[in-house]
Amino acid sequence: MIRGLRPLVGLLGATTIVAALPGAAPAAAAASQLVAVVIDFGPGGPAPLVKCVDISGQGQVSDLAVVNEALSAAGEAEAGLRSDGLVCSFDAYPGPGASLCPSGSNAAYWAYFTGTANGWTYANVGPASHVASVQSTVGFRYESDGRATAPSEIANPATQCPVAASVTPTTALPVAPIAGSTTHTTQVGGSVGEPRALTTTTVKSMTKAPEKQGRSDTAHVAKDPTAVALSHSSSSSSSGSDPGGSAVPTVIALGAFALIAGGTAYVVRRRRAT
Amino acid sequence: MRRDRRPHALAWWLWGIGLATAALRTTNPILLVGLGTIALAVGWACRSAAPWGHSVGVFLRLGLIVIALRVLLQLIFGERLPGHVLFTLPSVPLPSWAAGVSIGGPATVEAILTALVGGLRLAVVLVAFGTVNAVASPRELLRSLPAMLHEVAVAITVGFCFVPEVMNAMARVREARRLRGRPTSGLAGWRGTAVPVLEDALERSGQLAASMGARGFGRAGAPRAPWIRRAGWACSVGGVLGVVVGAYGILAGGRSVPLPGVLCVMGAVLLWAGLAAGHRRSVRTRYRPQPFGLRSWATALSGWLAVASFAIVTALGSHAIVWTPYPLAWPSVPVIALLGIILAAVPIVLVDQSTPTVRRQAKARREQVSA
Amino acid sequence: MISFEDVSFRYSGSSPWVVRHLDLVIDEGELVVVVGPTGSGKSTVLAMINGLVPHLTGGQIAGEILVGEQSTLTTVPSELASLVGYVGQDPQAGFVTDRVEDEIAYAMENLGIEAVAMRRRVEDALDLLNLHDLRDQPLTTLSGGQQQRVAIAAVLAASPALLVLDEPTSALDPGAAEEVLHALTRLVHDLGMTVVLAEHRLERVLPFADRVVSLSNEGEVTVGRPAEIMASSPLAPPIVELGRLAGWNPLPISVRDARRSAPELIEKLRAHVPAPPVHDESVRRASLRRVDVEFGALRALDEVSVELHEASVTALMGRNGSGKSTLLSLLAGSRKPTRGSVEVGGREPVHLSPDDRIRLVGYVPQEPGDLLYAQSVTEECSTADAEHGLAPGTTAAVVRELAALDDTSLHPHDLSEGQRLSLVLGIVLAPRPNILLLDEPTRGLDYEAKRRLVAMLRALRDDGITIVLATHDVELVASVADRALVLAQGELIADGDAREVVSQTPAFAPQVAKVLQPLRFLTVDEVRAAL
Repeated sequence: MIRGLRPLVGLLGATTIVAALPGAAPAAAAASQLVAVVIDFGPGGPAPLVKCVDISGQGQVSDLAVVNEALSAAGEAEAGLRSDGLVCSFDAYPGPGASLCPSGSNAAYWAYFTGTANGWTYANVGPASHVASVQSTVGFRYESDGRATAPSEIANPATQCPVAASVTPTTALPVAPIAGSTTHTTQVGGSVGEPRALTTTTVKSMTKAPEKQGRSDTAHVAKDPTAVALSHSSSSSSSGSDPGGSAVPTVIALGAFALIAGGTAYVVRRRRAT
Repeated sequence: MRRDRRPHALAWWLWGIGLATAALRTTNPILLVGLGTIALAVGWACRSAAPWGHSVGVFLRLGLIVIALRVLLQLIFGERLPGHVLFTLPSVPLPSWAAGVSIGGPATVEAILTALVGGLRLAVVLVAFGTVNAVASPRELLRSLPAMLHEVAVAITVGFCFVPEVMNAMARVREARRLRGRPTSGLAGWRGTAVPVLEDALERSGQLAASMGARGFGRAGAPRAPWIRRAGWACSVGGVLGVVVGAYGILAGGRSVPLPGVLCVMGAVLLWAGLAAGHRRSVRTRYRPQPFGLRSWATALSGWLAVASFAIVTALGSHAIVWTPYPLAWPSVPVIALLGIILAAVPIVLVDQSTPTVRRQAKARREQVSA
Repeated sequence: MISFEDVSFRYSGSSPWVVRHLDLVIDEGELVVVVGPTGSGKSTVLAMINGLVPHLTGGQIAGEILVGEQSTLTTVPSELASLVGYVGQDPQAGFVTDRVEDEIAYAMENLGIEAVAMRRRVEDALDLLNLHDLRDQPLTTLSGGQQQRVAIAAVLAASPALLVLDEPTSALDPGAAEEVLHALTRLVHDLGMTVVLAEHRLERVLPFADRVVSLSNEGEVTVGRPAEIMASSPLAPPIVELGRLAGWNPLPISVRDARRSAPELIEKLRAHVPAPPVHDESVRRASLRRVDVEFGALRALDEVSVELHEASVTALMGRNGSGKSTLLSLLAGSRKPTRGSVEVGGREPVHLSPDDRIRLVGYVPQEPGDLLYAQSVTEECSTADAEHGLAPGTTAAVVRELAALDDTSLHPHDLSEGQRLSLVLGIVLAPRPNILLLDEPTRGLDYEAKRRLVAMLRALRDDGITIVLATHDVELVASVADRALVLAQGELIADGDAREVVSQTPAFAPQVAKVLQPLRFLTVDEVRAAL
């Protein structure tokens, strides 16, 4: 009976190993992890603020926390939030704290974007519930007429910070990029009556940021509940350090597979014929 | 190949699980295609001559349908992923309450690739499952389970038989009805087919029970003391709970792997103890049991080489395993990963599933056809 | 070995008694055949030996049954498995494993026999029933006859002291049936096994029987030597009927016995050999021209050409797997030939609409119950009328003519085999098709039901209907067929007058022909007419 159980033991062992594998990955990440922050104050405001923030050792932080870190490191005032979590001001622009929040008569608001190699994409979750991904860019632009235009200064937002030496993907299973990327179509000239993306959602951000952010009420508008984990790996992998770009490895690999298929056909024919 | 030289059924299933795990851990389309090809090659070379040997083809077709559906759904209903636009489908503007859904719109290469890779992963899992089914049918696996699980295994086996039997009976009855000019579709058709089939199934299950009972199934040895049996029940229940909670903990993500893992293992141990305690000492022996020998180990491990190679590649810092269409570039194929995938085809050289009888018959048939 | 003491049984409080006050003793080392008309309780009596009745079937039982000193009322079937081996009527439904070898070893695994002994016994069982070629085969790919042999082997391998078989040769062609019965006889003689079997086709089994148990529908039981029982039994194989007719004493049980008493009869009949009937080669109803049917690499039919005329009965004979069912399915329109053409009533049957088809071709499958799904006979008839567009009551009238059914509120599956076959025949014949196809119609029928079937078929033929029968049953062919086609491995190896074909080959000869060689008498009726 013990002999018969050996393979079962093997199965159990294998399962545990598989489960443990993702845990091994984070341990390997030792280099600095940089997130870029771009705050574009719009046509009537001061010059855009561009800063890189190192979030290594902080675990999972929300974009809002990262922006606050950038602001405080630059000696500026941090984000001012309304009671329901809506961002009303950065660096006291347009007004200190939550004094000049968007309302019926005031359509101006802070539009929130995520930057990848392809350009800016309009986010559809709030910055407090979006986990900052390494080597991505968090962007805000203040629009006075209520439309969402991407922060204008930066052409390729993904290259704002120096590329770190060895950065490993920081999530567990890279299931994410496939189930649906978080990048959304930029709503150019879209009908944005209400700044829907900025209503913050229930908080999943575990950070050491100040109490201002992290309010956890209000309606949830996220299109994709898994968006949190998703953007994470998608952006991290998009600006990876691969040299991949030529078709040669692909061709070689496919050739190898074809060879194996041919070899199998030969083996099968020989066996069936004898 | 002699029966006791063939890899154990469990070894095949471990191989299949390894391949499926590898498919779920990567999004690199070339690696996925490789995994699929290897699975198909092994299935083709090693499948048994029995009717279930056709399951490779069945699951391959299923996998291709899955890929096609995925791409179609992405094009029609999927999120509009930005990128290089190939063509534009007419888009239907939806009211604001349906803001999460979009219909039509620009179809980009990236979107199609994303859907393709998603479908490909599932297809590889299906093909791996189909291969394992063709090579070592679930019934063989059940036969190899330890004696204490025998009754459970038999129940599952009988359940497995049920579906093909019902399908046979349905085919027969539908044919008979068609010949009689009775409708075979629609409500009347289904009622007319379902009733004889169900009656047939009921009768067959009675006959099966009679046949098994008449041949000694359920012969019990001496039952154990009551307190052992009760303790066994408690252990079994606790063990099942432990395994379920532990598995949930592992699969639900999160960082704390050790705790759920330990829980899982402890639960399994408890379950085993419970089954051992509750099981009556049976006198069952086994006819030509398949030993779990070198070939079996080789087969089982070869399926996991791909997973191991992926882990190595990731640890070395390459992002090749988790390819995304952003930015759009040819996927890179690390040599180690390639090697890991190719080695999963080891069973082809280890195993020759055809038996002397089958080969003789195949030869005779060929001669008959050509004569 | 086995003793029944005052045993009575019924399935529930309200159903009639299946056996009443049965007293029976079977000694060791005997081969006992249980005979009786359908519905007399043969299967129930056999299942009682094993303990399946009442442990598996439930019901009320009274009396005492002892099998080798153990009472079946207090011992469950699985405990009796080391003593009694049981093979049911449908072997395919009783398979537990995938392959032949594993199936044979299953009983031994349950009994805890050690591995070395198991291997040896499996080899012995394969030898005994000639199953070597099939040992790795999956069970689902075997033909009906092969499955029956595997089921018997599976039970033999465990070497029980007592073997109980319920209709073990029903799916076997005559050659295979003989092999199995020879094997069983050898076991009885060499190993002292006790074998109890129930069989309808007595002509196959009687020569091997030591004793016969005859059950009647009223619950009477008579036990005795074959010759004694046959002297008064209503069911008798052709040889016994011939013996009765010719007044032979003692009654012959086997062909050999009969031939010893035959010379006198042969002399008497020499002058009265029946002339071969003249066939009316008139209207052609259906034809197959150079038909090939291939399933992958397997060729089921090879260059077969056949013509069928009206008012004729054609018998299709051949071993299991020779292509009989395939040929019928071509005529019925469920299959297209790979090459060649099939034509029925001037059209291809595959392309007929269902309504047209039922008015042209009537097909009775091997399992007549497949066509029945209503809750009662009357409901079946009225649904058939509605679906076929006939006047209400037509089907019921036809069925009444064919079947001796008193209670039409019975559920179709509660009918006996013969009654079910008649019901299906009625349903199929109600739209008055020109062609009738029957696949193994006499399986499970006793002699009385067979006689009725023969009369029905003769009447239909006289009405002008073309009948095609696929069958093993030589006696049936001898009584009713005009023409016989013999298939072997998909090829048509004989096509001619039924009487000639059937008396040419020893394997296919009916008993009367074997006895009265060289005169060509095929059935007892012919002898009766000549005397």
